[in-house]
Amino acid sequence: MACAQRRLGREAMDWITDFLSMGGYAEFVWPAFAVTIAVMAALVIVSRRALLADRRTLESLESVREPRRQGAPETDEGGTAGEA
Amino acid sequence: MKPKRRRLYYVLAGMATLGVAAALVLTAFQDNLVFFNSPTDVYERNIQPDTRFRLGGLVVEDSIRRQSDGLTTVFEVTDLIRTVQVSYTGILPSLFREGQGVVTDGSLDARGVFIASQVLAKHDETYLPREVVESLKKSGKWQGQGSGEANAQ
Amino acid sequence: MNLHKFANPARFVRYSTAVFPWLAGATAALLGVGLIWGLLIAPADYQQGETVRIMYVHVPSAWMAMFIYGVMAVASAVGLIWRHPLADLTAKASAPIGAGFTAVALVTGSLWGQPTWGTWWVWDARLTSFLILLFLYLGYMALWQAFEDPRRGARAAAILALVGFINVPIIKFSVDWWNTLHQTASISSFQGPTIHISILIPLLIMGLGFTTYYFTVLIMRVQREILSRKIRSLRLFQVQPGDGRVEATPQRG
Repeated sequence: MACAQRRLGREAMDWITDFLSMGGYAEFVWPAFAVTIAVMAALVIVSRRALLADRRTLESLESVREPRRQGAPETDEGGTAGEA
Repeated sequence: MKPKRRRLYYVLAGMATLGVAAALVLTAFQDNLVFFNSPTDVYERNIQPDTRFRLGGLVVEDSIRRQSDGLTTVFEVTDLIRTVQVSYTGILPSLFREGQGVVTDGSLDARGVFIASQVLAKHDETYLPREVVESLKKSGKWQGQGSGEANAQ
Repeated sequence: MNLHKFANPARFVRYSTAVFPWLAGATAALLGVGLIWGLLIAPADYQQGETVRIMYVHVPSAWMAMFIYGVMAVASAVGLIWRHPLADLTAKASAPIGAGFTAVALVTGSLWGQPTWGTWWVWDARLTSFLILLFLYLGYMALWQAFEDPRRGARAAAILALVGFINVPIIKFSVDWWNTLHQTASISSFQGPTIHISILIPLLIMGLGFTTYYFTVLIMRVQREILSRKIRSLRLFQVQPGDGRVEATPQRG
């Protein structure tokens, strides 16, 4: 029982080392995947962080502007014009 | 509406002009944009010995000979019209095989043998698992390595 | 005009926010399945062995690099001609994503070239035109930054995007027009693909995943650009409270 288990374990280990070695091309295959994942993840993180930061800035700006709102011209509200 | 129309025409005219200009430039520099010459080019252009250029084509089946020094390989490169003999001293890329595409960098010697200082393997656009190739070979439907390449160059 | 409805930033934010979680979920699922399929299930190539797996990241990156440039060029044209507020922002938001994919395609291509061709880099028509694509993206992004007035920056950058679009068909057909070390396209519309189905399926899954990834990140970036504009106009408004009408003047036409 223990012997069979050990053999199974060794087979799994062999399979993993075999997989990681990529037929001797590990030094090319893995960096290629790593670079791709790193760039794609970085773009997500940077974009998301910038969006959240701007959202916070806008909230604080709008809360400051709140009391003056009645006097402000309507054009700035909601529609495309103010943002165009 | 009017300025929009005008801007549209400006953009279209600009793009058309650019396209024509690019086409002209690319046609004019045609020879420089080519990465390698085929054996036929070598004959037609009558390239002189000791002029550096790249020669590309297919490695002729059964043409690979190893010299006695163990480092120099002699083989033939063909575009299925003309054939040039190539001699190369050094380690060949792992994809270097008979029937496969190669691009070599070097110059012709006085005998018309291309002395290569670099050999690059050019692979074709077919991607197949090993088992499929084996079964194709077994059933006799396999058209040989690099067959996709041959007609292209 | 129907298109105008989508050019309304507020409406874009509303719709895109609704679509966003679905797109993000689809991206995660497609990339997860594609990676596992490409790395574990797909067979090795009869010539190249395991290096063929680099294709699963290299080829979709290159596709996206060119597709995103196409989006950028179309958006730039729409921005120049019709002055739609969202078009310029879409182009601007796309550029860093496209530049990222271009860099990835170049690096992974190099990592694929060394074991298969025997070289990291050659100056053939395909590789050179692709390097130019990276410079076009970088130049485009720099041009946006170079102008104090974002409207002028938008116009200059849009013109560069359109001029540079000439490069896209050159990249695509370089392998057909000239002798290159790079192989020709495996998936062309004229003949069937020259890739075995077992290698093609994970490739297409990855391609789909990269596409939804682009739109997912694009939504975040465009929304951010909309917020940035709002912030800028609010700040201007706060600096000159009496002159509000000047700052709020519609900038169309």
